Order: sequence, then structure tokens, then C-alpha cells
Amino acid sequence: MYHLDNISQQKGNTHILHGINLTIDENSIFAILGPSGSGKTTLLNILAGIDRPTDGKFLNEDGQVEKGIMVFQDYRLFPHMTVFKNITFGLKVKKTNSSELKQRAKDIMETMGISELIDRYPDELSGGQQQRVALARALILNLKLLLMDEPFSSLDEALRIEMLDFVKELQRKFQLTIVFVTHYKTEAYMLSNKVAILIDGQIMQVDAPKQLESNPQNLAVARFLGQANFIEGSLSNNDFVSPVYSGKVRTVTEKGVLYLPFSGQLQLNKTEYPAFKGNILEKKWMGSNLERITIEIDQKTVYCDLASESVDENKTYQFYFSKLPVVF
Amino acid sequence: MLTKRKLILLLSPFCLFMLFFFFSALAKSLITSFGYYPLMGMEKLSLHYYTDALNDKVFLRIFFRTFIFALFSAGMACFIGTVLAFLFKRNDNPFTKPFFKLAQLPVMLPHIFIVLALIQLLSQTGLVSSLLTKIGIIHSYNSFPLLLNDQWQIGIILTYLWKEVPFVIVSLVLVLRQMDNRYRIVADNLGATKWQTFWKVSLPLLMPAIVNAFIINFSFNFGSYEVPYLLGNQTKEMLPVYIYDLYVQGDYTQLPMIMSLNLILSVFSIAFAGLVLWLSKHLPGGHTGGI
Repeated sequence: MYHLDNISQQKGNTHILHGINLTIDENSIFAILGPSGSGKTTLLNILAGIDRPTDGKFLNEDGQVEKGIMVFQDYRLFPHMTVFKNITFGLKVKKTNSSELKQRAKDIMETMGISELIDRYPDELSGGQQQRVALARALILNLKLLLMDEPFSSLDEALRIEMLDFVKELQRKFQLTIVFVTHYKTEAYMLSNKVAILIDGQIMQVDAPKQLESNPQNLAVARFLGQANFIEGSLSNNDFVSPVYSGKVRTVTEKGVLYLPFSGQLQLNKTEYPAFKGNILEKKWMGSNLERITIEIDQKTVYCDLASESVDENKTYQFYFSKLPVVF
Repeated sequence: MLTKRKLILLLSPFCLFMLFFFFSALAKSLITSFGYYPLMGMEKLSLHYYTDALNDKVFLRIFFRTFIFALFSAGMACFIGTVLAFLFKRNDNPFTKPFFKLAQLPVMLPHIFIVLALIQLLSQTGLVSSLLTKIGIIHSYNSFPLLLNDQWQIGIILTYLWKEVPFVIVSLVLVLRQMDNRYRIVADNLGATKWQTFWKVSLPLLMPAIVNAFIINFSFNFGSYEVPYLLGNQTKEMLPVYIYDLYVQGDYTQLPMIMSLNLILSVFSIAFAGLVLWLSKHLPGGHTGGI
């Protein structure tokens, strides 16, 4: 178990991180998800020992200060070195003997499927190949903690999915602890079962992907995760009033914003929580037997995802909440 | 996207200039150096001016001296400039920032200004000598060591360093700032010490810029006339001064020989630059992928 113990970072008058407390399980993949400028890279730099926090510590299970090896967003392969020299750089500076160095390089290149690239220079490699070399350069060090900064943002869609699977495989094979930061929630959800949401230098929520989507802890998290309707209204006790819906709600904060995620919250099957009657303006096919429905209620528009062919355009339907809706 | 016609039109002034001025002058020099100079009734083509020059011990001695001298001055300028560039690379430091600005000044000044400034400063009746005499460190002007027109060509070396060290600094600092700390951070994260990072990462990445600066400095030093003429020692002549002295003697029958010396100097300078570039490709940092 790794512990981030009250880590804060301040540069000049700017507070980048505010008292980050986290625990990260060993032999797991942990995602830090947040918008640009939220302090993700700063936090990762602290875990890599590149930056020193103004306050707090990053400790391992034994209470020792820990330092991870980083795979950078732009890979940062040394441009003047061949793939072999890039991969063995960390062993070379530790003065590992030549035969061991060659054997470890051979093994890791085979694992990464890059043996044929041994004499190439970084500018002769594709994005995916560069990422494999960057991973090999880190993994050859028999590390425990691997840090990845926006690891898949430079790759195209097909390659991204291939690399996601490959990283999972590597994690299992080497029993690594991987901490990676991203601003793509799908990436975070596909790779990790535990995701921390970092917004404005603060950890807002740490949860499994499903929990994050169904139960965001505050409006900032809900807005960041997106894919939801945010309906403004007024609130007294647990009664919400708005042009779209008026009735009982579960109040999380008192800002008076009704949170209706596109999927999972609205349905046509009757429940004990009637929502509203609405006219179907438009249907858009979303793939996987799913349609995004545009519903008009009293000149307001609400979106929700339903199974294909559940509704017809220009018809009015009664909608229900699957559970008591949340107001932030 | 520029059309082919537009491109030709835009490039034509440069091409015309090169064709008429540079290549015609080069062709004229080449033909003259082969002994074809009809003005003086010399019309037979021959290589003997070249073979004579390459068998002339005086010429070879001067050539070798000039080469060693240009090599030493350019090497020193690159060494000192590289060390200072690493000190000046941080542009957020309140101390290095003004020093870097100051270091850029000599790049803009002509060589002749620096020659005259050095004469004012370092001649036996110059400012430094007067100051040392006044404060009693030396007894008289005559006790001040001969730094200009001396046997070791110290005046010329100082002029070149004064001008070329800032040139190296400016060239390298721009590259270093572009590189910022990206690769240093990676090396550090992979466990390298500061010294290992310098030798294995920073210096090789800087090598192409150092080699370019070295070639420019060497070519200038090897072919420079005015600085050795004003600050050099008469008994230790440099090649450009030797060639120019022959030229101004006004003996036109010597012109083919002078042109052959001139071309030997030029071709050697280009060939040496080519050799340095070729060697640099095989040094660490020879392949940088355009960074």
C-alpha cells in the first residue's frame, strides 16, 4: 500500500495541490482523473520525485519515501540514442555489467514486441512503438511503481484500445502498481477499478467507475464527468421546484441543481418516482442498441439514453426516475 | 502552397547572384590558378602552381601554423563558450540574465572594433599597462609583457575569443533553452547523476550546435586577414596575410600562383568542415532526430 500523506504544492502564490490524502493498493492500476490544469501532472511529478511537495510525503508500506518511474505523455525518448541505448539507459547509469544488461534488454524487448527495432532511432518509430520503448525503458529496471502521464492521449483510437489492453497485461505479468493520470474518463474506466477525481488541486472523490457515474459526491465531480442534465430550480427542505420536475429529491448540497445523468436515471417503466411527461423531439443512434433521446418538457430540453426503438418521435411519454433524484 | 513558377521567381535573385558573382569569380580564380592568364600572355593550362605550392616548405609551414592556430582558437572558443552556455541557460535567474545580455554584445561588434579596443587595452602603452604602472605593480611600461604582435599570437587569440566565445554562448543557449529540462528530468528519474546526465544526455544533444559553431569559427580564423595583419607577429605570418602580401606586390605574373594558394586555402577550409561534420555524425549526439 502506498500512502500520499497530506501532499500540498505551491508555486509562487499559486496553490496547485491542497492536502492530497490517498492510499493506493499495491499490484493494482490506480487512475487519477481530472480536467486540464487540475494538478494531475504536478501530483505525478511528486510521486516520481521530479518535484518536491511544499508539504506532505509520499510513502510506501514500510514508511519509506517512494519514487516511481515515469512514462511521459510525449514519451521523451532520448533522440540521440538508439532503441537499445534508450532502453538500457537506466541500467547503464547504475553500472550494470554488460552481459546482464544485454540479457535484460533482450528479454524486455521480446516482452514488448520491439526486438526488431533495436537499432532504430526514436524519430524512426511510430507513436505506438515509441510508447512501447518508453515502457521498456521503465520496466527493465524491475520497478514496483510505474507512473504514466496521459499515456494514451497521443495515440489514435484503435491503437489506444490495443495499448490499454497491453498495459493491463503488463501490470499482471510484472505485478506492478501503476498510477496514471488522464482527462479521458473512458480511459480511466477501462484501465482501472479505482479512480480518483482531482479538480482544482483537490481529490473530490475516490471510487469505482460505476459508483462515480451513479453517485458523484458533488456538483464539480458531476459536471466534470458530464453526460448529464443539470436543471436549475429552487429547494426547500427536500422539495425541488423547476419547470422540468417538481417533487421529492435527495439533497446533497444546497445549490439547487437537479442532476439527471443521461443513462440509468430516466426510464419508461413505472416506478414509485414519477418524473415528468415529455414530447420526443429527436432520436440519435448511439451504437450498441442505444439511442439518445431529446425530450421537450415545458419548452425545456432534457436528454436521456434509452434502448433503441423504445419511443417514437413527436409522441408524448410519461418518464420515471429509477431512484430518488439528487439535487446538488 | 507556392506554385512552381512562383518558387522559381522568388529564388531567382539568389540564384542569379550566386551564378554571376560567386561562381563566375570562382571560375575565374580556378582558370587563373591553372596558369591561364591571357593578359600576361600566359595561355597554357597546367597544375604546376599547385604542385609547386604543395612542395614549397615555406608555404607548408605557414599553412600548418595557420591550421593549428585556427584549430586552437576555435576549439578554445567552443570549450569556454559551452561551459558558459550551461551557466547562462537559465533565463529566470536574476544574475545570469544580465550577463547573457552583455555576452551578446561582442557578437554584434565588428572585429576591427575589438582589435582597436585590444590595442588600447593591452599594448605596452595601453590602459592595463598604465594602470599597473600607476599602482606600482610594474615599474615601467617596458615591464609589461608583450601581448600584441607577440610570438605566441596572444593578441589574435584574445580577439577571436572575445568575439567567438559570445557567438558560441548565444548559439548554444538558444538550443539549451529550447531543450529546457525535458531530458534532464527523464535521466534524473531513471537514476542518472547530474554528471551522467551532462555527459550522456545534455552534451550529446548539444553536440551538433557545438560542431556548427566550431566550423564557423574555424573557417573564419583560417581565412581571416585583418586580425592577424594588425595583431600578428611579422615573423610568424598567417596564410591569408602571406597570400595578400604576395597579391599587393603588383607582380601580375605571380597571379596564377596567388590564385592557386587562395584556392588551396578555400578548398581545405571546406574539406575540413566536411570532415568535422562527417566525424560528428559518428560521435554521441550525431543523430538527434531534428532536436
